Amino acid sequence: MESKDSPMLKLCDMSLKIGSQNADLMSGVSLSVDRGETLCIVGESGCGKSLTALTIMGLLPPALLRGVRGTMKFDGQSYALDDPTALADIRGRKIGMIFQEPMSSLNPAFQIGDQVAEAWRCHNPGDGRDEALEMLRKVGIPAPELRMNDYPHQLSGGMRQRVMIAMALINNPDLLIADEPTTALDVTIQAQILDLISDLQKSGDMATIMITHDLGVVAELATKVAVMYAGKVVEAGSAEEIFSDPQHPYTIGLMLSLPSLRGPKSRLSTVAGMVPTIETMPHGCRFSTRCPFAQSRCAEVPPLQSVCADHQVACHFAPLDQSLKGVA
Amino acid sequence: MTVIVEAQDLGKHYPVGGNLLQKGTSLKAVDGVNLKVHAGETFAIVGESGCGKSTLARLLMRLMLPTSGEVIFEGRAIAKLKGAEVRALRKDLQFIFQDPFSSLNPRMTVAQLIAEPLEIHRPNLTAGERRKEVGRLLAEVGLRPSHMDRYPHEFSGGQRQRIGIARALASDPKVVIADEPVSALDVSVQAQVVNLMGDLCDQRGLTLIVIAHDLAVIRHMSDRIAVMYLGRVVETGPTDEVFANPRHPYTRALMSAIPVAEFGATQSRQHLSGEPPSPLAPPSGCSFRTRCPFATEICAQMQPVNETVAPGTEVACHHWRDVSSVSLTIAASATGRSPGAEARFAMYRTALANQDSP
Ligand SMILES: Nc1ncnc2c1ncn2[C@@H]1O[C@H](COP(=O)(O)OP(=O)(O)OP(=O)(O)O)[C@@H](O)[C@H]1O
Ligand SMILES: Nc1ncnc2c1ncn2[C@@H]1O[C@H](COP(=O)(O)OP(=O)(O)OP(=O)(O)O)[C@@H](O)[C@H]1O
Ligand code: SF4
Ligand code: SF4
Ligand SMILES: [Mg+2]
Ligand SMILES: [Mg+2]
Repeated sequence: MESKDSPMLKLCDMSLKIGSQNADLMSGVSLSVDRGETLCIVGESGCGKSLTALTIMGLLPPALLRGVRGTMKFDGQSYALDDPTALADIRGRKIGMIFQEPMSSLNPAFQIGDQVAEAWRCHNPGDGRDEALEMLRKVGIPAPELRMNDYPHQLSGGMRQRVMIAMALINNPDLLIADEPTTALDVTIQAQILDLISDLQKSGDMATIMITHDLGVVAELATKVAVMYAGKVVEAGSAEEIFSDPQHPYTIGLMLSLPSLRGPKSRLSTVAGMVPTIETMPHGCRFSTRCPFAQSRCAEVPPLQSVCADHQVACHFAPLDQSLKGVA
Repeated sequence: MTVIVEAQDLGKHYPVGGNLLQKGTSLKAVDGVNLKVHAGETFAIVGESGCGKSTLARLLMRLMLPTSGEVIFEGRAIAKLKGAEVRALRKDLQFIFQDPFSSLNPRMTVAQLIAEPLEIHRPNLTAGERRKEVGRLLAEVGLRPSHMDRYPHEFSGGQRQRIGIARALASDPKVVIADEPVSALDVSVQAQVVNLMGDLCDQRGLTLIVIAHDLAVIRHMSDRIAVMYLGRVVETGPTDEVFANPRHPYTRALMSAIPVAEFGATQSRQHLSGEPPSPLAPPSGCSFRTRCPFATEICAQMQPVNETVAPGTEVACHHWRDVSSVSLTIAASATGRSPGAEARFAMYRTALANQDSP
């Protein structure tokens, strides 16, 4: 469901190939997210979630940049993905990012107040002290006027993560990209961060892309979900559709492998085997080496197709319960 | 039930901030912990980052000595063991580390990595027997014996964790302590490793002590659980009982903070306000009182002692009765799945079962 105007961010058909490798590392990834929405990207480690985020930010390393194709539309303007110079202007100002490793993203030698103010100074006049103080207060740092002078090592993991969020938000971005913002934190601190992000989402008119492999986090925050497998989007749709009516065998495997918090404890289902390497990537459906329903037709690439208004799946046999009746 | 590992009033204080001229303070990472682990059970330790779980695990293994109290293994105080006795203890108590990426020496092949503990603990095996045993261990953890001569970097995270498990099993231990064994793995790989550890416990009658911050994983794996806060055990009991009726305010906050992987799941989240207090200057009385919604005057004055609140369940809180009378929904039912989705889930399970037993 897209609004009449084009969404805040639309990533179209992004692909990424390294050198002469025989398969694309990322293949035909399209995503969109609008103001007030939170798109969660989920998938196994190494499926390309961080690369997608770095592409949008124009932060791919030069070696990878050479092999990237596709376009992006942000706030009404088009950008070529292989030309990050155009993106430099909006990065940090209109797009804020929380990186996967908070410890290594803060400079240990500078006070946190300075680091947040610096993010302001990059794009605005003034020293940014007042703005930094205000932002630190907003993200729930207690006694921020004192804490501003602390160095990163004097803060707990949860507080450091909130400093990162403050830096990402200080310029009031139109789009926030958060790459695994809670993975390193324990549940109680994670809950604080999730509440903070969900408050921001409700109050502001910001669009959010959240990357995680924690389906609990997704269920809590997402309005839309994209499930990735081996560099491709295999299922996408509204959060309600994805959780109540998952279709792709990989999504089903992922959901079944979660231990439950209630009910009987049965043996966990798994997704058997491992992700193929780029050298051994099958030409047809990339999930076919691990899919319990794979058949000869799966040697052809399944296109991402709509199963209903708000839900797309890349599997020849979706919905499985109808197409494979009596087969499996 | 036989008690195999026991902690008696165990304490570990780290010296911090001191130098030659000036005495520093001490950080009570573990403070007055009592617990009994039964032979053959899976015992879980949970709690916020920094509450002392890893320190407790290291004390139980005698990887460090306590400042106070004792660890008893099979009836003997392990601090007093010497020489050959310590080696025998190492054989019986093994460790699985959190990080499958850094805990394996990158310059050793898998065969060498697993042979190492065999050489130490079962020195009378011949080279040929040892190689055979390595192959058997690899098969036991679900790896191909033909992968023996590869290096760790050639394996995925889940496979490396399996190598770590095979290494821990090589000495044929009685107790394995796993410190965050699956938290570096993503969910689908995590499920494989959780299943594997469950199978090993069943088949070998292993006692497993597991530390994890994912409470759904803990609920799935463990028979009994201890919840720690700032160096102390605040609640312990059978896992099902503690999940069904958490009585300590901290346990309740922990449980209600778990995000549930279902759309529209409603949580009556009990907010933990504030940061954990510094372990260098813990609050007087109950150390949870600075964040506890139930705290009263007495909580600042007296440290609560463990009380038995149900069979096998102990809680350290002055007000556990009042706390338990407030209802708490953990993981309330959500919108649920469509009938089509349920059918697909069933098909997936059947297809997997058919793959397993062709
Ligand atoms: N600079 C690089 N050069 C070559 N390959 C890379 C580079 N960065 C990432 N890759 C590869 O691209 C794939 C996708 O990586 P990416 O970091 O996007 O994964 P991810 O989905 O974010 O995983 P995780 O959940 O572990 O963070 C991986 O197979 C990775 O090995
Ligand atoms: N060698 C040390 N010297 C001083 N303090 C230490 C040392 N090791 C740990 N600590 C402190 O002791 C406390 C308990 O640490 P421990 O590693 O046992 O916690 P944990 O519960 O395992 O945490 P996590 O979940 O983050 O792994 C922490 O406050 C930690 O900073
Ligand atoms: S296309 Fe075939 S292999 Fe791919 S997910 Fe569907 S059934 Fe499985
Ligand atoms: S003793 Fe008091 S402060 Fe401590 S947990 Fe119980 S009610 Fe809260
Ligand atoms: Mg990543
Ligand atoms: Mg630890």
